[in-house]
Amino acid sequence: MTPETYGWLARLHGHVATLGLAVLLHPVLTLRLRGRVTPGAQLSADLGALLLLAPALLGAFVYGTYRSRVKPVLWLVQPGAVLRFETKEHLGAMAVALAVGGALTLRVAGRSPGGRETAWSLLASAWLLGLLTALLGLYVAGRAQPGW
Amino acid sequence: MSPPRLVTWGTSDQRRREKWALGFTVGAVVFVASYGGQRLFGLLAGEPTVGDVIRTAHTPFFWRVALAALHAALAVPLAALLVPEAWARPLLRFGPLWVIGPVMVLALAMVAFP
Repeated sequence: MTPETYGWLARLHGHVATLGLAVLLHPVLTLRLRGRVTPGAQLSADLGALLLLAPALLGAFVYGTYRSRVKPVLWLVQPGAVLRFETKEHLGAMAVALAVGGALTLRVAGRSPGGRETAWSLLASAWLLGLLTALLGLYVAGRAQPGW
Repeated sequence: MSPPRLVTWGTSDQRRREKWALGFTVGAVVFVASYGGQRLFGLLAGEPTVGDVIRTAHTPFFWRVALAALHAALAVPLAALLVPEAWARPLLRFGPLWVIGPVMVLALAMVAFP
C-alpha cells in the first residue's frame, strides 16, 4: 500500500466513523425522549450501525500497514500515542458490536418496552464507546503527523 | 359457557421476536465480554507487549476480534433458542442493568490496560 493510499483510507475510516456516530445519536435520543420507535429512528439505527461497521472493516484493512510502517516509528517518538491507539482499537471493536446488536434488537423487538429499553442501552453504550474511540483517534492523528 | 383460556402475554410472533432480541443482546454483550476477557487474560498470561508486537508475525487484535465474533455468533442462537419464552421479556426489561454495567466495566479496563 502506498503512503498516499494509506492516508486516504485512514482519513476515510475516521470520517465515515464520525458520520456513523452522528447518525447513531438520533435513535439514542429518540428512544429516550419519545419512548417509541419511529421509522426514522429504526432507519438511523440501522444506518448508524452500518456506518460504524464499514469503517471498522476499512480500519482492519489498513491496520496491517499501520503496524508495519507507522507503528514502529510512532513507538519510538510517541509511545503514548501508540498506547492510546491500542485503546482506540479495543473500544472501537466493542462499539461496533454493540451498535450492530442494538440495531438488530430494535428491529426485531422495537415494539415491546423491554426490547426498546435493551436496544437503547446497547445503542447508547455503542455511542459512548464510539465517542471515546473518535476522541482517541483524533488524539493519535494529531500526534502522528510529520512534524517539522 | 366458553372454555377457560390460558392467560399468556403477547402473540407467538411477539414472543419469538423478544427471544431473538434477547439473543442479539446476549451476542453483543458476549462479544464485549469475550474481547475484554481475552485482552485481560493476555495481560495476565503473557502476550507480546505493545512494543514487541510490531515484530511478531501474528496480530493479537485480529485474533481477539475473530474469536469474540465467533463467541457472539454462537451466543445469539443459543440464547434465542434455549432461553425459555417466559424469561425473555423480564430479561429484556432489565436489559439496561446487565448490558450497561458489564460493558462499562470492561471498557474502563480497556482504557486502563491498553
